[in-house]
Amino acid sequence: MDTHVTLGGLPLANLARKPLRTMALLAVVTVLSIALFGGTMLGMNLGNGMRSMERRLGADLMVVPQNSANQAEALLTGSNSSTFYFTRDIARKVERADGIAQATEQTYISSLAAACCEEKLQIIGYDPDTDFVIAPWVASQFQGELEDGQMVAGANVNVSVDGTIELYGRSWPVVAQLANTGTGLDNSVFINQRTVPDMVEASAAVSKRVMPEEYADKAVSTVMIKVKDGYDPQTVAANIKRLDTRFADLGYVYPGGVTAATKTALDALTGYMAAFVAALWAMGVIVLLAVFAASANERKREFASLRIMGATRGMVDGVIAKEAAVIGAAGGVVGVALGALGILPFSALIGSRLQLPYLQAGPWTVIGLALLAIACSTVVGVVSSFAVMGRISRGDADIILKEGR
Amino acid sequence: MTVETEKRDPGTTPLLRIDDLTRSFTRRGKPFDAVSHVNLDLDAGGFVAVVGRSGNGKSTLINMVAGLVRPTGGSVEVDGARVADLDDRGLSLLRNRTIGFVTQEQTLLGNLPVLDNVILPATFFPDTADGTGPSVGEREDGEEDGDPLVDRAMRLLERLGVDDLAGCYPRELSGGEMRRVSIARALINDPKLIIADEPTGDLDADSTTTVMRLLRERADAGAGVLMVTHDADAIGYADTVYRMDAGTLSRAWV
Repeated sequence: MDTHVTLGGLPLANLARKPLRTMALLAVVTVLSIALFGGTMLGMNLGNGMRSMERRLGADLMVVPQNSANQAEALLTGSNSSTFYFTRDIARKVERADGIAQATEQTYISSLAAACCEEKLQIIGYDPDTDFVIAPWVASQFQGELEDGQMVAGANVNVSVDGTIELYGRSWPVVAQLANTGTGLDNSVFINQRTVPDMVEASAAVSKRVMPEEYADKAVSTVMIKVKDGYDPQTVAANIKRLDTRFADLGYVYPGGVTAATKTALDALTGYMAAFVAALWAMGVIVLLAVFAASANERKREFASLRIMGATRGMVDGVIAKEAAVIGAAGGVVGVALGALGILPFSALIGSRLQLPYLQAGPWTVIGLALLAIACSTVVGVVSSFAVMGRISRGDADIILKEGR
Repeated sequence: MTVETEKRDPGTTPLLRIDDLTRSFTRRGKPFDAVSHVNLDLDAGGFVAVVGRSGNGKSTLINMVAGLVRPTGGSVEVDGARVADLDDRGLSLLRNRTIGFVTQEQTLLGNLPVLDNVILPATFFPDTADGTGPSVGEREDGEEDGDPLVDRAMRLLERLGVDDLAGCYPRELSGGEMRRVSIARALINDPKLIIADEPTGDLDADSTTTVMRLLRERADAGAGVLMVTHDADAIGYADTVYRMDAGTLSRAWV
């Protein structure tokens, strides 16, 4: 069996015998790989969250109680749960305004910290008969009718193995769990409006009552409105205000505007991130070029020796390129691994800290992104080494040898 | 065995033919010929030594023979191939398979142990080698590795008295030991033409004898040997001695 050295094994021997240089180059490539993989994945996840939020905010206008507009926006974009409401008679009157194509009522109750959840749970009561925002989404996971007392759980809600959630001292059956949206809705449970009084009573039995008993069956947090063609949400809001002088004090939230504001914040963040990653890569490539150039100068004798022994220019270039490719690929793999370890397990935390919709990309996308980052790291390593190849493999070997003394 | 141009027999092709070879350099703006219109033939089995003071063009001459330096004028033919006409692969193949070059400089690869340094040139063009080479005797330890290249490299190292250093890295060797390893490396492909630049430069008397006997043996077996040396003990092994003086080559009578 042949056990001797080969030219193909020389690059690995060179890397192994120069651990300090190898580790320094690996560190540079690893940082580049982390920046590319991590930065791109964060940007992608934020974009996913944004698109998901846009899909979930199917209403053109939300009418909420006085001084509750900010809470409603926070509920849509972030993870801040809230309880606010007016009475159903107001809601019904609002729904009569001119320019409304569809209207549905929702009731929001913020739970205390529950055993099922890392954060406070947002309970959302909706009317399956009139709803056009949540129902289509719920229908993707649950085809039946949501009975009284039943729940549909958001993606981040921990459902017991017996299919229930422990809330206010009662077990609530969960009939379906929704896919991740990257928005505050992932920390929500959905019940039909008829279950809201039960929930209020349950809260009163074990802790502070979430709303007075007399409001339990007539509390409405928001009227979600889809406007008719030819109307814009602002015009419909003005029509609502004309119905009753008191309605001028109600809160009017335009989800399209919320989306636009969030998008602006998101674009700014991803722009800064892209600029940071680009600057890091530019610096990294310069560092790699400098390190490769310095090491090539000190290795002139070594490469001249190969030429004297009869290695072709291609063989010498191959040795240099293979060393660079091994460093690039290894650094890429380490960078991707570290980036994945730093991002994948902490999706919920990242989303909550950024206060932006954040939806983790699927496994195939992550794998594709990882392969791309590894490929880019390998290519940048090899391309950096190209800069020194010409200087080494061209010219008279004897002169290169003299330069290397 | 060795003839000057004016005595050349047009009917024979020597292993090495140097014809009107010139290499000019410029030093501080003034051009000068490091090698000036040199002619030399070396047949297979011949052993030529070139002597002369440092800086008189000896190394430049043999570097041009090996294609390591491009001549300004004239030509070099090795084994029927005109060196200047060869492309990179052809020239590399010539250096690897036809020529065994012992450089004046230490050119062992620092990241490979001695045995791998010796074997490496034999792996460059695997399709053109049978991997065994001519016999250089049995290994003294009687062991065979099973890998013909390893066995051949070990036999060469044994002949040169450095087989016990096979696993060492070059930085662990003395100058003389590195020189002998370099010679083993130059011989691994059983070259037709051995070019040795000061092959005994770092060696004691015993090692010089060992090395020169091996080179003489190779010449007797049919290889041509072109050696540059300052070593009076080494000169005695050559068939013909030339003197290089200010870039010109002339027969020396020693």
